[in-house]
Amino acid sequence: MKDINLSKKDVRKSWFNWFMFAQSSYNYERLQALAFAHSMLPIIKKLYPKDKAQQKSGITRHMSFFNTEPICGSVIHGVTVAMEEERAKGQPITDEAFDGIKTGLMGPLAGVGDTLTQGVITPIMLAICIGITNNNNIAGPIIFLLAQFMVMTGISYNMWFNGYKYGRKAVEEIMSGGKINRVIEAASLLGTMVMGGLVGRFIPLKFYLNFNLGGNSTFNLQYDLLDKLMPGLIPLVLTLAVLHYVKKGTSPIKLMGALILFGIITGCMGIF
Amino acid sequence: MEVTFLQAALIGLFYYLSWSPWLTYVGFFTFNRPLLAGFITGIILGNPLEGALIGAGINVIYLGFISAGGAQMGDPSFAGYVGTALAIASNLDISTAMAISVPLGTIATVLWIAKMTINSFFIHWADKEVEKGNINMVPFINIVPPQILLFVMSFIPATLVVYYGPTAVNGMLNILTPNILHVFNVIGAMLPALGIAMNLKLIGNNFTMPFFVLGILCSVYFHMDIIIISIIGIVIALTISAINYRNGDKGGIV
Repeated sequence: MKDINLSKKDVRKSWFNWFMFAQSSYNYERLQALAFAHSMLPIIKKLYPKDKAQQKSGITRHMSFFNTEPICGSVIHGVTVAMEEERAKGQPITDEAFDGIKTGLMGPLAGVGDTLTQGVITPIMLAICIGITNNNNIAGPIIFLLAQFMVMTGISYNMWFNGYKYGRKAVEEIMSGGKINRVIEAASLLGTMVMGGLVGRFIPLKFYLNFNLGGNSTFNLQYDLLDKLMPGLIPLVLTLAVLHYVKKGTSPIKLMGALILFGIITGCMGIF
Repeated sequence: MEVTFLQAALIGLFYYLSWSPWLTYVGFFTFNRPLLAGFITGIILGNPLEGALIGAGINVIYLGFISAGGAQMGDPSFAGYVGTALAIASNLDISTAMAISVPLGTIATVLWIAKMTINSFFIHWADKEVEKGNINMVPFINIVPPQILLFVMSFIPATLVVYYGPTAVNGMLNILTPNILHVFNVIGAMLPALGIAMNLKLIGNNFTMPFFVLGILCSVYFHMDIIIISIIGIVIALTISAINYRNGDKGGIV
């Protein structure tokens, strides 16, 4: 039984390799496999300093198919590092156990991670910073850059080190304790409301049509009716219609085409 | 205005950086988004504020942009850098810029697909080296060849389109009548619905959708800034979350 302990520096080096190069060689065949092996390299080399055969098999077992959300998913790497350390100390952890943990966690964490980073955090920060920019304030993009950098780096680093520290338990708690649901739930509410705010700013659609009521009086559908009933009704209906098709699974490219076509038709006819 | 080759190349370089792993993975979450792409392009072309405003507009279309498992809708980054550059060079207004940048972003998806395909080659190379025991080759193969590939595939097309594009756009604008420009404005006003809807697919549900309507009202009727709307949103979210928590609900409305 050997007694090799990983230092904080080793774990940080491993995290850095992933954080920097997770998507570097992203490919259709095994997605992030090579980046995963890259991140484990400092760990394997430290744990088996002179044993070339062990080093080789260590890297080989992390070259298999891997794909998750790179920021939140780094908790998986933390767990894997902890497992590698235990194995080097003599615990009977098989190659299958590594595969099981990695493939078992990568799906759920991709789901939660993509929702959280790409679906909630980024759009909310973007919406706020787009709002700032729209007031002719150059601070918008700069705040976005700094805030994203701090938030994403913070999540990734903490996920990795907590995974390493608490092992599998950490992941199970994050995934099943209801905590993550609460965060996503509150953030979704905020996000949905902010999206509504963007509708007002960026979908300035109004009816142009005027109806002649005889004599000098005209009736404008927009100003005389819609603005009094529910301002922003047209953008709302348009967004809900698009949402309906998005939910039905119509591809975004087709929807873009349809919107462009719809815009050409209604624009030419002078409806909008 | 005239875009010099150096300016075009700088924009091409930032487009490459936005898809590269350098500057840490956060580059994807920052330089890749049209808001920042527009700002950077604006700095390069000498008009940061206009660039940021155009980028902000384009960004709304890509608000629901999610890249998961190697699949994605369009290329927000290409739309952001190249779209803003063409808009500034040809003096387009924001909605026209939005309307022309979408097809650009859609076409550029081809670059991403090609990169994902060719990258498969490198992992086989790595397999062979590890098999031979050269585990130190892993970092090299993970970084250098894929990045050379990405650079060639992103820098060159973006630079060329930014350099030669304005002539084409200007030629196009000379033919178009004011009526057609109005149509561009209508299209530019409709496309953001897609980005917003894509995002709502993920976070919108029976519980949150009423707040979407509230958001629209705050914006259209009360003319509130997004930042005020988001503060109200935070207050409501925290209140509701606290009420649910007190009732022992473990969450799960979503």
